[in-house]
Amino acid sequence: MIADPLAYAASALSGPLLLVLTAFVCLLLPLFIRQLRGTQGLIALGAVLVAITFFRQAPPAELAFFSEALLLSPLSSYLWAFALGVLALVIALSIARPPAPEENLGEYYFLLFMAGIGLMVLVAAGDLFTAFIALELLSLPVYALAGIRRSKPGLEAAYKYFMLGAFGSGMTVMGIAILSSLYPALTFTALKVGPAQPLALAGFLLVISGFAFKTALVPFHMWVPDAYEGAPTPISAFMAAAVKAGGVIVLWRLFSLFSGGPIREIFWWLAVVTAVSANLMALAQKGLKRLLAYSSVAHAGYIAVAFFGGRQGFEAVLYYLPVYAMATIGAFSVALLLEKEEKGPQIEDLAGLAKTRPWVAGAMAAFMFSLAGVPPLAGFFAKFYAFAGAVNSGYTSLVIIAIIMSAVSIYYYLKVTVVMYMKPSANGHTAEAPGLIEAVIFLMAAGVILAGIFSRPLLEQAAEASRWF
Amino acid sequence: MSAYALASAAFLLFSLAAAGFLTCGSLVRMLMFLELMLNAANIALVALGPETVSQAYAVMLFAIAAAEAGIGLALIITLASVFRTLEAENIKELKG
Repeated sequence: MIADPLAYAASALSGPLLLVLTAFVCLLLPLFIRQLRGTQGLIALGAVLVAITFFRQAPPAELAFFSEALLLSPLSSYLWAFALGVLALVIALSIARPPAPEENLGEYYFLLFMAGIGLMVLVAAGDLFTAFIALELLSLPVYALAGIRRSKPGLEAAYKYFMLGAFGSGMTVMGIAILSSLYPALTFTALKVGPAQPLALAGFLLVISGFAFKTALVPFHMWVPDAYEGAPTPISAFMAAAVKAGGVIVLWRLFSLFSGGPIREIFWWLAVVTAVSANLMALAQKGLKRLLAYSSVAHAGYIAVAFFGGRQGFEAVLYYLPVYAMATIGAFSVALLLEKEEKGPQIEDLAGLAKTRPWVAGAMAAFMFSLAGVPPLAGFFAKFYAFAGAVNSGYTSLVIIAIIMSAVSIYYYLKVTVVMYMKPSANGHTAEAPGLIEAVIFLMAAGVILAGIFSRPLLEQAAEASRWF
Repeated sequence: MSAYALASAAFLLFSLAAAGFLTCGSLVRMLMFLELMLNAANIALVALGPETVSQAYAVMLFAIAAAEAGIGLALIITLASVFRTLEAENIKELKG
């Protein structure tokens, strides 16, 4: 047991509090000091890097605060480090190619930080209502960020995301209202024991569909392709890596309340329908960002398969999230590098990349193979552990479907690689390439390769964190 | 009015708002239906939940609904000035 939980909480919460402070600094300081305009990105990146160092030391036990609204444990430390890592990468991409005009950069970083804090609270939330508020704190800024350029594609992306996201929130609130009439409290521990009456089932269904909107499980994925395509590319990467991770953690908490029964069956169908339809729809895509959007939906399906593996499955999910995030952020960075119009490059625009930029093409091939799950890249081990857990728990048919669909997915990931290596370049690629984007690309490529070949350290971290669920 | 009658009315309002949201094509109307959904859920929460806690929740939900309306209206105003229309079927830049 820890000597002084309050002192620990103060030090653990100093990370998020630093982010709140920096958010306001980014928003307000450039208004008063002219020279600071345009440097918000550097301030933001510095603050995130400092915040990462704040919780190298995870708590030795689970500490509950505010009547179990917030749970700090090695699990929350792991996910906070993940969230801050994603935030740092997204900020680096935004510095390299500012997604908003200079006078709006303050708001841009403010909203990004608010979303990041929302994610941190969401993954540490111990009750359903806190999770809902954190989810709103995560998604409201992202709606605005998607449309921050005020261009046609950006605004269309923002309104589609907003309308469906808010519809999902409405369903979640209704579900919470129903559940609060049946359970004495809304903490996840209190929800575990209790009646499995039809009304409770309706409440859980509403809550789960609300969170499934954010995680982008089929049939709640309609907004994903448009939102990813129209939003600024760093924000698309944030949605794919961070927003999805938040939804996944809450869905896991809800899923693990049940050891059987209709809710599990609904998750079974969600996983199957997501894995099958997302991969089939991805086959027809021509835009790179749209392809990555459908790939992100498909990966949500694989993660839902991992849910069935019990504790081993959760360990796999915790390994899966950073591995998927590295590959997808890397791929979105390549899209950002080649971006000429706001919708991002078409897959055909990658033609000849192997000639003009062999290293970037090699990194992109690594991301694609990792997303497809080709050994020895990290994506293979992530899928392997995710599916192995489900097989061990006896869900073999589910895993067979997922494996067939991930074989289908190799087709469209390979298509990107073939275009890069086999097709001659039709028109030259843009000459100017901010070094920071390339740095992110190579960092992510190194991560995808190293986390695959030397998967032990990351897996051990994930296993340690999963023990604290 | 008993709590259950109030909750039933809230469920009805919620279903009507959800149906309206899914069938109407104007963004302003969709936003209004969204607010209606949130408010119906809020009424259900106050009617059904344990007294003090759910009222505290309800107050927080007002704030969230207001924030959502704020973002939604800001988006709609910008959309109206960029696209010159607020019918969902005319806002089609992205497809595939």
